[in-house]
Amino acid sequence: MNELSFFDCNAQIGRYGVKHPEAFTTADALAEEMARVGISEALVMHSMAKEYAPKVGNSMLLDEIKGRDAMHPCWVVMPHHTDEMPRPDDLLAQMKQAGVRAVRAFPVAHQWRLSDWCAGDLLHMLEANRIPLFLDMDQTNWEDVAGILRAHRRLNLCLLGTSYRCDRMMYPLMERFEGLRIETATYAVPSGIEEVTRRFGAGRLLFGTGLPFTEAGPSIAQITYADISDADKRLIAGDTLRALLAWYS
Amino acid sequence: MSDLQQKVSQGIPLTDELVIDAHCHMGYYPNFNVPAPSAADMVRWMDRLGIRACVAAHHAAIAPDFRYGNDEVLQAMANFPGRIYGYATVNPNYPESELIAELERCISAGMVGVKLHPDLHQTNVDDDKYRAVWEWTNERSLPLLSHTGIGGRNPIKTFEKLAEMYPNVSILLGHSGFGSEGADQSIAACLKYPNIYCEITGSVIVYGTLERMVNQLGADRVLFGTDLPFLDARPQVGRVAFAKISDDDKRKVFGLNAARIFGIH
Repeated sequence: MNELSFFDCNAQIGRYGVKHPEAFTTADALAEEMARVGISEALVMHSMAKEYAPKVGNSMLLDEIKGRDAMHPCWVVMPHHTDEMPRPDDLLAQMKQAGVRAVRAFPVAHQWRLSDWCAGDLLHMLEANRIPLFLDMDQTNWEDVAGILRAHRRLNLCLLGTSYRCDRMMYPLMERFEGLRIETATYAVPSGIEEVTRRFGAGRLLFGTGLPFTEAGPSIAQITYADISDADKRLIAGDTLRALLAWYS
Repeated sequence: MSDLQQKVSQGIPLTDELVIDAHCHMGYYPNFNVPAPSAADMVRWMDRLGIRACVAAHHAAIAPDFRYGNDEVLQAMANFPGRIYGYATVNPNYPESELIAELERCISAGMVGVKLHPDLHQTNVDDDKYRAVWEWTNERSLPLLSHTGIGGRNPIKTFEKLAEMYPNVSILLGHSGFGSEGADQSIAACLKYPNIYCEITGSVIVYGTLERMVNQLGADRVLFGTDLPFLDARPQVGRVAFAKISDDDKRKVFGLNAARIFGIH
């Protein structure tokens, strides 16, 4: 098997309100763990963007990963109506200027609704520009996910932390909406990677770890032992994410 | 890089190692899809990963029908000798005489331990309805795997009392209470009682908890398990192989401990 170039779609740095002893907080520690386990690149968000304020955490992220080519910034976003976030067009300009190619949202933690009446302008901008939106399943529900996909059929929506009980809801949405993808971490369905690959294509799965909250080794083993072609493994390991992030040149 | 980590990084089956999965299941599950539920499916995954053997409690047995579930596991043991071993699973909501008869039947037929699921059977693990099961297991010095949590019907702290009452039972804390707090409570229980062990199955594999267990308890007290086919077996293989512990300790966790506890060779 050719060596895989792993690109983690789900990593964080920063300090946390609730932290268990081994969870690291710095970019240095993340880099060290990536090197130890063999992850080439990571899409990284800052904890303060979720647990304090997006604009503060997003700024801290750029400072803390500056110069680290293996770490790619992922900004946390919200609707703009309260002026805590820039208007979508301004957000787009700021993202391009800062080299930010992906965003993540926390509707539950930030108390807004993942629906067009609340976030329609933001979702429209993300869809129109093919910007991947990462969304933790504990921040939404399948009804809302279906709703925004029906309203934004070309949205590149990447679900994190789907866990293993999701197939009966995820499959019908995968059938209808080509922009829907899921992260592999917590998707611990035996033969699940193989089934999703067979039914919908390997391009619908993204390698993710959840570092520093959850281990990387489990996610790596899911790919290295997958009963799929080497080409499909490369897509899941990182090539699909690289393509998603190339929405502007 | 560790030899075991290198093999898993390359997707090489761990056939040259002794890997025994101490916590498996079998069959369908009502509230989610299990694409590969059969014993044959399990053995295919075991072959791909290099898992020599597993000890299984059927999904039907831990929920609605322990006789049906145990029958399925006994059939699997016959179809895959030396690969699939069984836990005799019983439901305390049925008459005590039926539970003891079932344990007798299953252990006589070659099963190697007892499985309890207090949460799914909605009975506290130290309830009187389980007493005869604990006593029977203790008289025979058998291993007993129980579902655990930090709350619910099977909190880790309750197993400390049970370990003292039933010193001949090797108590395997299924999932080690889940998460970081569960790991801490499991470690505390193991430090107090030599007949308690941490078993590591779980879908959310919290960073650093395996190393914490091994560093505080020693690798002899920690057992590898996957929950296959409730869960994919690959993540736990990766967890142990990539852990920041020695390869000797990984081998204990992977299989040497289970071989000793279950008498599987």
